[in-house]
Amino acid sequence: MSEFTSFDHLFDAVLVVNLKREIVYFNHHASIFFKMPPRILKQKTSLTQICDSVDIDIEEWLSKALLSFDVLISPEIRLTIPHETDLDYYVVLKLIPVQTDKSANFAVVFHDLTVEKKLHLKYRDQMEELKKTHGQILQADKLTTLGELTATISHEINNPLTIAAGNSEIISDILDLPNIESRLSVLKNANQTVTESLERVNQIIKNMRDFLHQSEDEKEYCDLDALVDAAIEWAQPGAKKANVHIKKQSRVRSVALANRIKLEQVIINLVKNSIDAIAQHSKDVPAEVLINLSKSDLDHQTIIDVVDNGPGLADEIKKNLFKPFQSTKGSGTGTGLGLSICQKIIESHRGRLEHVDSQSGCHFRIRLPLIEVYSYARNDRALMGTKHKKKILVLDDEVQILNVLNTFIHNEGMVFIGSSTPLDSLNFIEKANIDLIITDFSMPEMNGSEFAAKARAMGYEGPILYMTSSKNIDQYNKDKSTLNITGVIVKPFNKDDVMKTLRLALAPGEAV
Amino acid sequence: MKRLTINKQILQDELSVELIGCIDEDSDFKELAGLGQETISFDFDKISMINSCGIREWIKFIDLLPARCNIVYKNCPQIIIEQINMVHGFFREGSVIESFYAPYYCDKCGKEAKVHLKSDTVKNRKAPKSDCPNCGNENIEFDAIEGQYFSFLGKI
Ligand SMILES: [Zn+2]
Repeated sequence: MSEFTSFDHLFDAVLVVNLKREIVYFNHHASIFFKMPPRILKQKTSLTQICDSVDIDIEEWLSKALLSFDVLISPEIRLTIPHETDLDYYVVLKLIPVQTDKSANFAVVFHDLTVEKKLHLKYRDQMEELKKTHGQILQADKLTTLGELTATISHEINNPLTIAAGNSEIISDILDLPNIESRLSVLKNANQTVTESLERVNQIIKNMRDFLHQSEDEKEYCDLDALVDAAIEWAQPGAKKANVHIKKQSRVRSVALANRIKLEQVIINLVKNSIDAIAQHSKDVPAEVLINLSKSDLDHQTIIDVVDNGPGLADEIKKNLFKPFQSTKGSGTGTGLGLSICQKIIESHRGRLEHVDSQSGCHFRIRLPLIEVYSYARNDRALMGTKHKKKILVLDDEVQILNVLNTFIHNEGMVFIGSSTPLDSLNFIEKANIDLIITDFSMPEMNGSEFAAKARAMGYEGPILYMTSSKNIDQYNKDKSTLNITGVIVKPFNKDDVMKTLRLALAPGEAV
Repeated sequence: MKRLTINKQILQDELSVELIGCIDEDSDFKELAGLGQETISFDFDKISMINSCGIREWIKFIDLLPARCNIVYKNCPQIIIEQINMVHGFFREGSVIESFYAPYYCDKCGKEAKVHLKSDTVKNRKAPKSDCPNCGNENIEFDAIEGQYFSFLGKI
């Protein structure tokens, strides 16, 4: 059978069968593959004496295949070797006609895919396992958070509930009085406060629920000054009781793209932590908590510092500050909204919550990315693979305008980058490829013309739209040629105004 | 499947490594890196399985060993010999295969035996004579294809 010896050079097992399906030759590798010394293999006359498959009837497949006298390939099958029960292979059988001088034969090649198949199965299982574990970790994390939330929910809603209860008492008292009419304004006021407080409770609970459900954070452009004021207002009753003065300092006007309630909660919580710490610590100087708003142009960050003049944190506490269930307070005072949750909230804003080591008192710092950076980064994922998406920079110092335009532009499938100050805008134009700029005209720092001139000087060549009331149209007419201003969105505007202007500016000459 | 266990000891100028279990895609030899001695010997006696992925890991590891290092292979079982006959690079040039196992069969009593052979006893890919461990038959048969089984000896 020397005509078949060339099969000995293959690293696949090969059995040569004649038209009666009798084995007439096996190559060297067959002995290794079937774990049979040549001595034993020699005695085997048919394929089924050597191997078997649950997937196909090998003999049947062979007899069918032999009819065609053509190359034939089987599906991937699982192969068992009867005398080696712990062995199983995944193979593809290849049938190759081999014509010799004397006879017509077929070579059955066992193409071994066992390693590939087992790797595939193994990594698939491992991926499944990994996914499961990942889910469990997420769930465990949620449960930790849930525990924390349950512990803090009462703490959080305590203030609004106290206020509501107090005002409800006022209402009852007035209702007992003979001349209600004269107290009508107080009554209305109290009623309003009750409504607001309950709304607040509702929102806190809703937020916590959203947090657990990992729902997409609704973020809007918020004036941080106003946000801090609101936070202070909510913390005020507790502060008064503890005789702590809350001060605010803001050197910059800053806008954040944030979930207002959540960010407020973080600040309230930091302030409350401070109040509780100071309350337990008697001091000669008046107790105070300072909230300081600033901006780091270098890091493109807005910074909110919450600093108190209390005792500061014990070293022990500092170490595990941001771990779940960790409190800045001793046991018994309630955990407050855990710092780990606060950190998660800030991180969901692409920011950082840090403890700043200071000589006296306790100092927490919230770092938030400047809105230009954040709104751009937020669109990062959207930008990948959709490079054609137009990037629109909108400069306006009014957060409501930013929010409205954000909705319009975002819904049109474009990338909205909001900015509240001309300088931040200019910084950003330098770094990112902006397709179009919409600028407010009357801004405290500089007007639209000055801004446009600076943008042009920096080399920005794309369209610029002014957004202003009709009183500034003259200025536009002047700037049209000198600064190449494309158009004006006239305030007040509606969605169609904005979008039509925008589309025309982006693709001049095209029908709208 | 049993994962690979690597036992190792360093004595004088020699790092002795005993490999136990399966050499497969999960085998990681990096714990041996940096232990380099003048001589490294590998004992494969307790290897139960080796697949092509394991061989790749092995070759990758062997390539990293310093060139001046003497590499010695001991007690290679049949499965190792069969695999390495198909792969280039399992043995680094200049390394020594001290001993290995080879299949024999006694046609008197039917005993199948894995006989431990010293490499230098194999000449021209011919199986050396061996006795039956069962019945004492002085001339048992080699139970594989000699030219193929001993081809690894030509690779060194
Ligand atoms: Zn014997």
